[in-house]
Amino acid sequence: MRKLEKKMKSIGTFSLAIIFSLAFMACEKDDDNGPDNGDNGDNGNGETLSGEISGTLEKGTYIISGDLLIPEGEELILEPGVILAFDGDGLSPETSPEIQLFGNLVAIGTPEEPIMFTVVEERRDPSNAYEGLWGGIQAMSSCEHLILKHTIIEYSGGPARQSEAYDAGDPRYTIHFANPEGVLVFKNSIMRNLADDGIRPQGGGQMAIVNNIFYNIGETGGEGINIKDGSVGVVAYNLFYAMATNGSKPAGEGDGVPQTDIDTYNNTFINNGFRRAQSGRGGSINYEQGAKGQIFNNLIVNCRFGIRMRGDRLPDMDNIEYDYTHYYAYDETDQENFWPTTDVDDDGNPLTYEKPGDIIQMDPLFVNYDVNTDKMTAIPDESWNFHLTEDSPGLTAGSTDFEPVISSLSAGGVSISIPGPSAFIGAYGTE
Amino acid sequence: MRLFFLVFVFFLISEATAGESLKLVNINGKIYDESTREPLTGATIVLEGTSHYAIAGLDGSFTIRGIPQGEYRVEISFISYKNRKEEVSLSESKELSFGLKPEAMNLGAVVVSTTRLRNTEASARAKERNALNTVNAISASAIELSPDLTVANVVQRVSGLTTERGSSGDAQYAIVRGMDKRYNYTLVNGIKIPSPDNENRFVPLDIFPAELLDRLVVSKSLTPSMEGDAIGGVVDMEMRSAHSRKIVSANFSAGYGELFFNRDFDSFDYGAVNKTPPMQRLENGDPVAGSMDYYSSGNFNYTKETPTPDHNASLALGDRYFNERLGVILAATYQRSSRGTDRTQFRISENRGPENLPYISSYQERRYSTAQNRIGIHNKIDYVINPGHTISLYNVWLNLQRNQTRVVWEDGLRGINEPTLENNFRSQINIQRIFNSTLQGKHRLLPNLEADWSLVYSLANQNVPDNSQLITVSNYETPGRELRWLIHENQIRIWEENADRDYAVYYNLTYHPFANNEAFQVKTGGLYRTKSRENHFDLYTFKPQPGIQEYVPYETNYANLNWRITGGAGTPTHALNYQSHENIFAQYLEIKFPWQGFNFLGGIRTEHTDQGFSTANNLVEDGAQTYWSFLPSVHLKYQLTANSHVRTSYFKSVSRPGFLEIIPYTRPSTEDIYVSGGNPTLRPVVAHNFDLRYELFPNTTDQILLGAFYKNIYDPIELAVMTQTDPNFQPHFPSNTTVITPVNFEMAVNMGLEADVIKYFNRFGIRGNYTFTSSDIESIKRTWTEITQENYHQLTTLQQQNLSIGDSTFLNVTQMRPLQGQSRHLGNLSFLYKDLRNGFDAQLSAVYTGERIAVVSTGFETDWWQKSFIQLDFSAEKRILEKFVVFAKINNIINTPYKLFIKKPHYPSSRIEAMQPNSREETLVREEFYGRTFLFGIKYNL
Repeated sequence: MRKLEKKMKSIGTFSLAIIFSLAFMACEKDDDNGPDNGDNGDNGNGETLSGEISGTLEKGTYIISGDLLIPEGEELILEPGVILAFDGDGLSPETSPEIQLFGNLVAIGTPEEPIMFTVVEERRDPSNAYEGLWGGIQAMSSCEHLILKHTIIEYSGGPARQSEAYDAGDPRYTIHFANPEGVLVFKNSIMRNLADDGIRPQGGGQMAIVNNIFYNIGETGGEGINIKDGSVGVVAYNLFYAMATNGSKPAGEGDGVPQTDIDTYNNTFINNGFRRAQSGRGGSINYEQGAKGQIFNNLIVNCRFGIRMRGDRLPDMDNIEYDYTHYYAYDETDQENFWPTTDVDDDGNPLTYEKPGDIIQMDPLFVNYDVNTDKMTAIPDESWNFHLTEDSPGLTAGSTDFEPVISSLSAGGVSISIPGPSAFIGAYGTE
Repeated sequence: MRLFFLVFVFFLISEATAGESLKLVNINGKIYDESTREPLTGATIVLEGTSHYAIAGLDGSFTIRGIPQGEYRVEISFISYKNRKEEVSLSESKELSFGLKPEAMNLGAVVVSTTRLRNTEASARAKERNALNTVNAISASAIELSPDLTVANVVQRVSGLTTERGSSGDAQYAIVRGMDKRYNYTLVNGIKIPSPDNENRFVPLDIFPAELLDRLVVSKSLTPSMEGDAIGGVVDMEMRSAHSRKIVSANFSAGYGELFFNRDFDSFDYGAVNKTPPMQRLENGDPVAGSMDYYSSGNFNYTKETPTPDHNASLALGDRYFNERLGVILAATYQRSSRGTDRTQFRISENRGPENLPYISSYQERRYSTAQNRIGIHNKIDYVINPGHTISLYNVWLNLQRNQTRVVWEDGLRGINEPTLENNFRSQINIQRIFNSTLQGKHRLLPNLEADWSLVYSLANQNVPDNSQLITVSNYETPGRELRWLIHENQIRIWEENADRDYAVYYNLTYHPFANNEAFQVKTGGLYRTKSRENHFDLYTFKPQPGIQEYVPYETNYANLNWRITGGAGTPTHALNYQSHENIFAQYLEIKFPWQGFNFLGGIRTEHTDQGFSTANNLVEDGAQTYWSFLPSVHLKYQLTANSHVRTSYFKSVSRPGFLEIIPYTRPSTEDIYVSGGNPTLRPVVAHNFDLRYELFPNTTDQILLGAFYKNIYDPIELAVMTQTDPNFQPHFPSNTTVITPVNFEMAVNMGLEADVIKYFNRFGIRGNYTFTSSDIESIKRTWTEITQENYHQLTTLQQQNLSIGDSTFLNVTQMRPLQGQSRHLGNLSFLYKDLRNGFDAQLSAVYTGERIAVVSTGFETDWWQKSFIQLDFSAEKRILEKFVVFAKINNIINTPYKLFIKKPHYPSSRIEAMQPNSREETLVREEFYGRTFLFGIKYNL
């Protein structure tokens, strides 16, 4: 455990500043100072792609004019610096192209040269955040692995065609995964400005969703990660900023096997849950419908609800463990909602089934983030820093006394190690 | 209800007290059709030069009392019969009966059959008696007296038939002997008509105004000359045709529904609805309907109204011209009604957890307000070229428009202080149309050889334009956590349209080998029908703009809300965008002969089916099914005595899969937890049907029918939950998912007993029937099960890796249950009173429907049962002038609720318990009320 923690810390400290600089490189059109914005005359610059594709795409900007289809059994590899710019308007499936992943996709960028899944440059503006301009990465049940590392995914969520996953017209999830034997890796990446759910493993999978930043996802509904049946894995070291509903919601809907088993630890949740119109649902972490897992060391700041374990069908309470959660909220209503005891169901039980551990309410003392920032803020400022200061009460308040359900994943010739828990609360320790 | 019995008793007493005096005599007797011996209800007998007269009663009987002794001339007359005059000498009371001859068109030697009256009860009995297969019939004269306005109301009076209701509370579909609507077909004048339904082939019967009928005939067994795709039965609507007398009839009525004494009628701006999908209205080269200008806002302008009173009007004109060679009838009817339904419903989640009980996840109060316009126009022109050759053209156009507003209040049962509430509205216009045109010829080619043919065009369509929903949700994030209402994030508007076009040719040749014996007959013929069906489904999605929009609670005009389009291109790839075709080619040979008291009818029919589809989704492969069906049948009737016989029959029949069912589409799980999809390997259902019936006709109007039936149904189609290890799991289903799909089950058995009694005593009549049915089908259900050696093979590979014996998971188990829609006990009882002299008729009708499965669920023993119920209706009419009649109809007198429940308790929760009256044993799922309806009117008959 000691060893793990040490290794972890190095990953935990890795890249906030870098990630944010990347994020804003892509966000602000006028910013030409980014390490790479695809205008450097690389291969494929401005080349238009659609239809069947596999093999390797080299660094450069590619305009995606129609659906990209990776056939079953084949693989598409994206090299660092690839920018897939989808030419979509979000008004129909045809005019908001997607990646249809019957085969496999490996996109491993670098901190300096991330891989981008975005829209054409003139529409790359946060005012289009909820327009769902393109269709996301739709992995079918034949997809064996989808590996995304050092990537940026944005402006997705357009209406769907009829399939087993969507009724025609439904908003598409940005990453849909459907193979319980498949491997899904989303690491060191940014997902932002989406119309609906970010990652939705609906038919299961083994997954590592670690060291990412999610922000501004879902206009009036939508989760950062919405995990359904048959999923096993880890959600750790992520920042969820301004999700419409929850940051992460594992559920065991349906009756697939294996049972949904997701460990959620060392994540930071800020400003989540306030864009959903209807009261009474999640705003940070939500386990329901027979899901199980370990929930530790999470930091929940100015969210609409604390950890919630309820649903039409309860989660597998016998096999859920939770503790070491730190909360902060400037709004009294939100404080009550850490564990909303004021509202009870008809049997007198609070809305959330059980008290989600000790309710510790204190300012986490971020390096550079005012915890009184308006909770409706959807896009983080470049200068903010969510590391903890030396005085932070969360610095050593976490537990490292548990083993994640999986510690590594390998697929497609790539081996991914999954960082274990840290002794601090939230996604980032000290700088 | 008591009042109506009092009315009956009153008339009974006034009848019984008529006196008798000395030196006066009486005559009584019967008036009947000379050739058929049918009683002629309503025929008059007049003693010329006196004020003594009588009108024949329901059984044709009459009595004239208090006639001074003497010589008289009596005149007996009845519409479309020749008048008869007789000299009678009355020195004492006498019994005298008179036969009348039809006023037939005697064009040469042959009596033309068009003059034959079909609309009388006697003709209905004759149809039942003379048919060689098992039929039940109801005549126009019975319908006219009944409380029924549509054919769907009428069919529930037939023994063994029940109906399924739509959301407006009106009966819509017939269930025949416990066989669901999919197992029956519908005819107009013997011609099969297509359905306006968007997925299936069954025809809603409430589109047909009852007034257009001469007679409704339900066949429960099939002869070779009938189409072979009914396992329950066939509903044939014989429409009004021109008789030899001039017909001028008209009626007008108005009424009101009790429900709207107590609440408002919800309405929206119907005129604002644009009937064409936005993608078909694109302007200025727009690629998509991405501007809000394409979408009307009046759909959300809700108003609370006092509904206009219901009103119905109808007119029928008919006559024969050119020496009666040309007959023309034109009839039109218009019915406008406001219907309401108040419903309480619980959302039920399937069995959960270790106790395997359902879970209630929300509570709803729904209020439906439906304005219905029903128009039916039909005409028939027939021309008798010469006695051997007639030709006719028949056209019918039916149009039913329902404008429905649905208001829902939902409580998500999530908290008391801050309940999760929803208030939503749906604006829906549904227009169904059926058009049929049939050109028919009948030819006597040789003295003993006849031919007939029909050329048919039919069109059935349904249009549901701009079906719009508006959802508002509760929110407590305000300071002080007060309730405020916000517009829900997603709004959908759907344009849906489908059309079925049939072209068909029917041809029959009838040969009588023995010139003077019509009882011997050889018949052959067939049909070719080609059907094309088109379905369109266009869904558009919107979000409120801005995302958080508050609205004033309970305000009803939402037309000024702002929206933003998120899917403006419709949904051309939705599974409901498909085209289907179905070509049926059938031939048959049927022979009929008498032998020593037996009447034999039998033969074989072959039908070739070519049913195919293509969809607009290129991920769904086109496909077709072709197959032959060989359908033998034998019908035997044995004459026991002059007025009783026994009949028995065997027939084989099929039921073809629905149009959408065989398309290999998939749809995601919505409220259910399973993906759903079609099954291109579905086979038609095949049944072997056996019938036995004893029939006693003490006279021409009374009857006693006692019957039994037995059906062996192979490959019945039912929905089932499938996983990869099931043999029926289709290749197009996504692997490792659980899918709900129609499949052929192995076998079902349906059997029953029927009794049908009609008895008339001059002015009184009782009609009653009772049906007992029992069916069994082994269905596949899902339940939380411990894994054992026996069921281990059901686990998928992945499950086997993760679970072992002793663990529990959801697995398929079998559960025996009755067929959906089948009640063990069904009954009908009607009391009739007919006083022809005073021109007063009344009828009180009760229908009993025993409990039955309304919805088959996927979970073990969680089927939704409908509680048994009795519906009571009353109607009465009184002649006020020679040609005018006033009438009243009162429906649903005891305001019978429609209740659905699960025969299992649920996970308890104290707030729900107050609303669950019998929660220890069962779970109430739905309860709805329609209220009484009243109708008063006036009729004119020439």
